[in-house]
Amino acid sequence: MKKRILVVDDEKNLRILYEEELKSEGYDVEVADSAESAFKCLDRKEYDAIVLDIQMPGMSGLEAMGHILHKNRKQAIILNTAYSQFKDDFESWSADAYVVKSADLTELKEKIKELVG
Amino acid sequence: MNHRDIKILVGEKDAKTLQRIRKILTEESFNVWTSDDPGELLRIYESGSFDLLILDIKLYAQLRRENFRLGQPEDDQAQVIILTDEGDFSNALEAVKEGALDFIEKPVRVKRLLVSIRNALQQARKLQEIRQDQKELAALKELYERIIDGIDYGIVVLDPELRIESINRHLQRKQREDASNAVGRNCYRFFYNRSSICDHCRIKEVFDSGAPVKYNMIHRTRWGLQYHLEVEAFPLFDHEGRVNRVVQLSKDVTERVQLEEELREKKDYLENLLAHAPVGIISTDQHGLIRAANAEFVDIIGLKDVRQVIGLSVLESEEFVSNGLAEGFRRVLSEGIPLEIDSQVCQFSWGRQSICSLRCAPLRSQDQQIAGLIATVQDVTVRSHLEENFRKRIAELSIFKELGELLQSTVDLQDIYAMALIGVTAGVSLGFNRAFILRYDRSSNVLIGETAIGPSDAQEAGRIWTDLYKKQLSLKEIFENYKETLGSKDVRVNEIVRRLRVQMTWEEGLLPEVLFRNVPKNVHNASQTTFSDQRMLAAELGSEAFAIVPLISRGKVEGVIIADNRISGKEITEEDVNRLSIISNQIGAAIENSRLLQNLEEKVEALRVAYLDLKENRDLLLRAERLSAVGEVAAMVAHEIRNPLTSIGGFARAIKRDIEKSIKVETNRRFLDIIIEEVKRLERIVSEILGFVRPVAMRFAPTNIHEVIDQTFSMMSGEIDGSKVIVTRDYQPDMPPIWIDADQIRQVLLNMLRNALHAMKGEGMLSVVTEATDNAVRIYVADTGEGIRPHHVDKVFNAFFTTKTTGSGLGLTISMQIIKSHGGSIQVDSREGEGSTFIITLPLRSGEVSHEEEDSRRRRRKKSAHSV
Repeated sequence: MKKRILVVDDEKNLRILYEEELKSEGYDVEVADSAESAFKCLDRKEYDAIVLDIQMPGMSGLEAMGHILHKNRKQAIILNTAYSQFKDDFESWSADAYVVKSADLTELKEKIKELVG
Repeated sequence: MNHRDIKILVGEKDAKTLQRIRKILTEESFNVWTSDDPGELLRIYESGSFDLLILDIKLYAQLRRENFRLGQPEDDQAQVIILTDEGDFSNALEAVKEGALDFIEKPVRVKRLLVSIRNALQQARKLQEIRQDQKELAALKELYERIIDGIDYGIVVLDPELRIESINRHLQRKQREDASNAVGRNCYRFFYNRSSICDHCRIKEVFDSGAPVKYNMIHRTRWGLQYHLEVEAFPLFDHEGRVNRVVQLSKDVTERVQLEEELREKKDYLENLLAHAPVGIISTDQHGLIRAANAEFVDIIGLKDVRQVIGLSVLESEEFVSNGLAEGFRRVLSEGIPLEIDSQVCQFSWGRQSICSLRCAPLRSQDQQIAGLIATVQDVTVRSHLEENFRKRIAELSIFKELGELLQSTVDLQDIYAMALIGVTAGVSLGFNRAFILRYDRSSNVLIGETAIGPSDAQEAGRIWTDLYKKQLSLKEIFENYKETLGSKDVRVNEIVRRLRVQMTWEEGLLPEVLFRNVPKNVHNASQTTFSDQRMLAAELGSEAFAIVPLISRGKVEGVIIADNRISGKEITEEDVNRLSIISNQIGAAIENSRLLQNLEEKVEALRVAYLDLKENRDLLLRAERLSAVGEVAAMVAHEIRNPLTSIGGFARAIKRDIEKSIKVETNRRFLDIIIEEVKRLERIVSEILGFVRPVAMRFAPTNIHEVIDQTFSMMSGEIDGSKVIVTRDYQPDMPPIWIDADQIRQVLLNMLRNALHAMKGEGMLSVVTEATDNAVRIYVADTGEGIRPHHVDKVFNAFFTTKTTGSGLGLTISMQIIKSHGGSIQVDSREGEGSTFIITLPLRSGEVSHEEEDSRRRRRKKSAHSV
């Protein structure tokens, strides 16, 4: 059975990129353009991993992660952000992985693989 | 006697007789004068002093009728020889009775005449002699009588029955009674109106013994008056040697007695005064021999009896010579220079040593000759000691003061120590011989000898102290001197002090007592103790007696000061220890000051360093702020660029991968479109960032704001035309031109319009209204879009704040910056769901004004620069 991954990013083009790339890795990929729409997805089904952008209009990724963890979801959370400095923010320590956005998706793919197999 | 000197006058009526007598007498060489006329005869007789008159009886009778008298023996008259006729004896005898010496019968015989003349001359000579004797006796009698009457003594002659035989005038006068009836009366009756002999009378005694007596008696009158009489009585003897009379001499000595009494009283008074005067008094004669002295003087010089000093010479007596007083006395006696000595240590061999003050002045006789001296002597030992104490106290205080001032001149610890040592050893007040400072090292709990002052031996001490005494140096001078000769003096004591190193323990001992209990100690017989540290100190210092006081600064013990009198051996009193403590306190305070100052200096240094750090930090901070702003911008830029880059890169990689597989051509085209789109977006972001980061030179010009608004709308026409947005423009008529940079204001307006369009999502009403007030122009840009959430209203001007997915978040920030640089402002009025109104306020002629202001400021600055 394919592992299911939810990608949350406000950037439309990035959503397309991640969707295409992670699908080609063999994952079942769904996308959400905000934290709020991500919660809707989470209400519907379970995911093995969530790739979460931090800087988003509306609720930020960190805030969203708080809500998700509060509901005690079992999926891995990978923070995926343009900001490297959030790595030092203790809120982000709750995440399972922290990946700085890059055109080279190797690191992201490796982390996902590591966390969900 | 030569006959020529004998003058003879012959009177004879008968010429023959006269001739014959003249012949005889001339032959005998007498000086002969003759006359036969009674008148002529008398004239001749009276004109010269004749020794002999030979006169015819008839002429005599005629002369008698003319009142001629024959001289009596006592008269100083010529002897007369009468010439008678023969047988006329009766008349001749009558003449002899009347004083004639002889008579010669006529005719005159030569021999008879010459014998008679010789007898007459002899008779005359005898008479002369008798007369002379009588005269002398009479003069003598008168003299005695005058003496007896004039003498101040009462003289009375008494017979054995005490009857007055004679009384002199003085006594008569004294008696006030008629003295004529005195003779024959009893003396007691006459003088004292008594019926019997007086009680104290000793006249009888004189009669009985024949020896004179002399006594005083007091006679009281009936009227109560009192006479003092000095009585002397001596006997007169008859030819058989029996006392038949007594002469009593009495003198009224009342006045003398009274005077004597007064004198005695005065003398007693003066003697009393002298004896009880609280000062010692002596007087001497002109030779300096003591004639009088009082008990106080005797007491001062330590003798018992006044008689022991009477007769001593103030010039030669060893006591006065050895005490240096003789010379002063000599000057008083020889030159009359008064002597004043306020205090002199006098050592009298028979008595004690005392400090005396002495005043001495010459005594002068009535003719101003120096007749001796009088001196007063006071024992001022006690006063002197008091004064000495005062002087000492003052000297002490002045040393403390001087030391205090000196201590203020330094904060160097070594200097302070040196001053302490000098204060302890200098001057008359403390004047310890040697002083040591031991410093307490708290960390190692060791008392360490620090420094010391003091001579090595008596010889050096003598030299130094004499030197100091001569020069009368102040502490400051001594200190300077000390600094100059540092190392060359006080060698021995510094050797000692350097050896001193005492590990402190909490055992019983001298040093813990002083150091930790803060008790000053006056140590005697230092080595006679159970305290080992005290024995050690005694041995090291070579001193059995010393004072040791703690040196305390700010409540913390810094060490001890030890001082002794090893050289002079002078006893250390409790007072000395107190003074040492005072100096120790002064030193403690000075050390504290030194520490405080040192701390202060350290703090100042720290502050200076901190200030420099701060300054550097501030520069760093400014730079960091700039850097952080830059960094922030960079981060934002990175974020903003990273997303597109990520997608461009990501897709580019995918395209590359897929192109290598030569499949999905259509997809690849789509991807390439994305890449183009993203690149355009990057261009825009970059230009916006540049506009924010790089300051743009402003170009102000009077501008019609309505034209600028219109131009902006034309730039937006494409977007507006393709939407359902209705645009209304309501311009203030007669709008004055305003000083603005049109390009920049256009950028602001563009941003506003774009935001409005974005907010309305292609549908709604966009209205622009202008309004001019007295000093400003307002531009309202209102839309009917979604509005801004209340909690976002405050943030809209913050850099990178955006709610848009595509915006940089810099638009409003840059707009605000531009308007502010025009001296204006932007306000927002927004309601969520209803729309927003941005109000831009621009000052009228803002640029002009600001430029003018800038110019006038510059001018003012120049002026003031000139005026300065």
